[in-house]
Amino acid sequence: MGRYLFVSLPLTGHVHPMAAVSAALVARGHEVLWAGSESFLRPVLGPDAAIAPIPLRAHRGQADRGMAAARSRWEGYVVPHAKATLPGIERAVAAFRPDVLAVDQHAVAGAIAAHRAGLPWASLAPTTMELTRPYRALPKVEAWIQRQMAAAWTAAGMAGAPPHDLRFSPHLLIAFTGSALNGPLDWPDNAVLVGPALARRAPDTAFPWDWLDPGRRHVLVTVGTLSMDLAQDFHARVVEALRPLGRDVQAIVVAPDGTVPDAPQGDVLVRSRAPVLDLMPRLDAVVSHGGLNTVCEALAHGVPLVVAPIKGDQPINAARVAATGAGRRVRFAGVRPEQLRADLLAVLDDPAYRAAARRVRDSFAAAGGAAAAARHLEGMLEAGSTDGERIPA
Amino acid sequence: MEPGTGAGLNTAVERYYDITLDLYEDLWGEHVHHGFWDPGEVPGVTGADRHAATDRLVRELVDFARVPAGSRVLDVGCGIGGPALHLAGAMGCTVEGVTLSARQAARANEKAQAAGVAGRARFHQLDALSTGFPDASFDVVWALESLMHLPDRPAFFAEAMRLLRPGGTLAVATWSVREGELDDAEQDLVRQILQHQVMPDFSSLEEHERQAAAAGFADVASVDWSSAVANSWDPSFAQIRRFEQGRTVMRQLARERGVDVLGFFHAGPLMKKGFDTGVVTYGAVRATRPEPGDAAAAALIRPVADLLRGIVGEDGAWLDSVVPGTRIDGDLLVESHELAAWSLALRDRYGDGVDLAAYVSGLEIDEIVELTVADVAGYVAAHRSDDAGGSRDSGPAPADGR
Repeated sequence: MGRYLFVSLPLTGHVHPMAAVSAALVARGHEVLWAGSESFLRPVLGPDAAIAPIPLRAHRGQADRGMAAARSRWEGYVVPHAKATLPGIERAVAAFRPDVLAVDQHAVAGAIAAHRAGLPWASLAPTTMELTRPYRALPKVEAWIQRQMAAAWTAAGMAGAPPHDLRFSPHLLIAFTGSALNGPLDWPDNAVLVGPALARRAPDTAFPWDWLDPGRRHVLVTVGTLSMDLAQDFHARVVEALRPLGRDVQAIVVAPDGTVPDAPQGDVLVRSRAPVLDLMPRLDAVVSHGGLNTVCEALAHGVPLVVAPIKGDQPINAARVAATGAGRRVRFAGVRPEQLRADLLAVLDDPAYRAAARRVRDSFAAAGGAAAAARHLEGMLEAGSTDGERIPA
Repeated sequence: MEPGTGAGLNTAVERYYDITLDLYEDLWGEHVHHGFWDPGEVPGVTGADRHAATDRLVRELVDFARVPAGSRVLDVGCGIGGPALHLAGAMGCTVEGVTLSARQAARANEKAQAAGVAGRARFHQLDALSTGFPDASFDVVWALESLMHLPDRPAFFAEAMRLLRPGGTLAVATWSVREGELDDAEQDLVRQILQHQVMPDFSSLEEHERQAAAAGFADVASVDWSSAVANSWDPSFAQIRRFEQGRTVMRQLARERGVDVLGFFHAGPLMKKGFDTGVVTYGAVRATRPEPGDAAAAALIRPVADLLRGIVGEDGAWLDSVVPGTRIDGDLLVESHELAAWSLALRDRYGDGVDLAAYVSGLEIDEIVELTVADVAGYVAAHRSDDAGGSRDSGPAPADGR
C-alpha cells in the first residue's frame, strides 16, 4: 500500500476533484495525508481525512479579468502561497514519508518539496489553464510566468534554475477533463485525461426541493465567486433574460445575498449556495462562467451549457464547449438580455446540444474519473521513483 | 575673452573644457553639473554628499523626462560621461555622447571602459548641431547643462527633432534666467557669468518651452529647480575657495593654460549671487517628438473600435463608451480569439502591414495589461498600407490616394 501526500490550493474548484481522487485511494487501502489549511479542507474532505495543517494566510486579491488576472494570479497568489506553505509541506514530507506527492499544478511549493526530497510526484490539473499553452502566442508572457516559478524556486533556497516546468511533473500529469471535450492533448506526453472526478458531497438539507415545478424546465445559473459589482451587473441581465420565460422555465441562481435584485419569485430562486451535483439530473441547461468543475459536472450529466467566461481557463473551456456542440458561449462582459435569452432558448430547445452533451458524458464515463486517477497514481508506486514512464490505465 | 557666436564660441567652449577638465574632475568628480537637494537639505561639509547630490540630479531628470530604460540616447554635452555612465549602466541605455572637448571625450571613453560599459557608451568630439547621426536614430536626446553653451537654441531643438524617432523624448536641464526684463545690475551679473563660463546668453525656462514647441515638439513641459540646485554654489560644496586661497597655484595655472582658465574660479560667487537674487534660475524641460500618425491615429480610434464592436457583438452605446485610454484587456475584456479575429479584420481593412496579433505577441505582460485603444490605433496608423496612407481615417480613399 502506498503513502500519498496531497498538496493543493485553498480554492474549492481545485480541491474538489483532488478530494475525489484521495477518497478513491483511501478506498483502495492507501494512506493519504493532505498538507493545507484545515479550516478550508476539513469541510470538503470530511471528518476522517488526515490533514497536516498549514495556517491559511491572506494573499492579495486577484484581479477579476483578463491578462491582469493572469498577472495577479502569479504575483499575488501562486508565488506568495508557495513561499508561505513550503515549510509546512516539507514538515509533512519529513513526518509522513510519502511515496508519492500529488500536487496541484498551481501549488508550486509541492513540486519544490518533491524535488528537494527526491520523491516522485504527479501534477494534477483541476483547471485547463496550463494544458493548452494559452499564451503560446505571447512568448514574453510565457517567459514571465517561467520567471515567477524560478523566483519561487530560488526563494526556496534551491540552486540554479528549476530543472523543468514546475507545473508539469516529469512523472505523471492527471487532467480532470476528457478528450471528448478538450480534444487529445498534444503536450505533455505523460498526460492522462481522466474526465471529471466527482465525489458525493454533504447533502444540502436546507434546499427547497419542492420549489421545483416538475411541469417546467430548469436552468442553473452559477458564475463562481465574483466581485460584487461584476456579479450584480451580470445577474441583472440574467434576470431580464429569464423574465419572459417564467411560464416555461424555472431558474436557480447561485449568488450572494443582495446581488440579484428584482428576481420574480416563483420563477427565479436565488441561493448563496446550491447542491449542484444533486440538482444536475433535474436540469435542462446550465448558465456558467465556464469553470472546469461546473462545465464537467454539467457535461457528466449530459446537460448542455451557455458559457459566459470571465478569466483564467474559462475562455478555453467555453471555446471547447462551443466546439463540441454541447453549448453556446456568450460574452460575459456585454451580453444583452435578449441575446442571452436567445442563446439559452436555443440550448434548451435544440436537441442537438443535449445530444452533444451526452456524447461528452459517455466519453467522460469511459475515461474513468477519480478511480482512473487513483490507478495512475498507484502505477507510480510500482514504477519506482524517477523513471517517469507512462503508466497504462 | 568676449564670448562670440558660432565657430568662435565653439572653439572657446572646447578650449574651456579642455583646460578645466582636471579641475572639474578633481573638485566635482565625474558629474560636471549641479547637485539636487530636497527643501531644507544642506550640502555635506566639503561636499561629502557631492556624488549623491549630483547623481540625484541625473535621476531627477530621468524621472521628470520619463526616460525609458534601455533607450538609445544622444547625450549632448556629455562632459566626462558621469550622467551617460548612469544611463548606460543602471538603466541599460545605449549612449552616444558628444562634446566639443576632445579631452573630455577621451576621458569619458576611459571611464566607460573602466566601468565596463564601453560597449554601450561611446563619446565623440562633435558639434551637437552637426553630429552626422541619421534621422530618427535616437529614442532620447539628453542635454544636461549644455544648452547654455549653444548660441542657436532654435537650431538645437530642430536638430533634436530630426535625431529623435517619432515618439522620442527630449530631456533638458539647463541654466536659465528669470523670465522678463532684467535691470542694469542684474544684466551685469548675467554678463559676468556668461563671460566666465563661456556662454553666449541665457534663455528663461519659458523661452526654452516656446522654442521647443516652435520646433514642433509636443507635450512640452518645464520645471523650475532653482531652489533645489542652488546649494551647488555653496562655497563648501563647490570647494572653489580652496583654489582662490592658493594664489601661486592660480598664477601657475593661468601661465600654463591661459587666463581664461580663471573663469572656472569666478563662477561660484557669481552664481550664488544669481540664485540668491532670483536672476539666475535652473530647470528642466521635457518634450516629445510627435508621432507622425498622432492625428491620424486619433481619427482611427473609432473605426478601429468599430471593427472590434462587430467581432464582440456589441452595440453603438458600447462604441460611444470607447475612449483613447480604454484598455483592451481590463476594460473591453478582449479575449485571445477575439484579438485574433480583430487582427484579421484590421489587416483586411488597412493592409498587410497591419498585424496586430504579431504586435501583441511581442509585448510583455505589463504592456498587454496596459494596452489601450489609442495604442492599437497608433499601431495601425503607423503600419497601414491601404490607399489612405497614414494620414486619414478609414473612409474610402479618393482617386489621388490621399
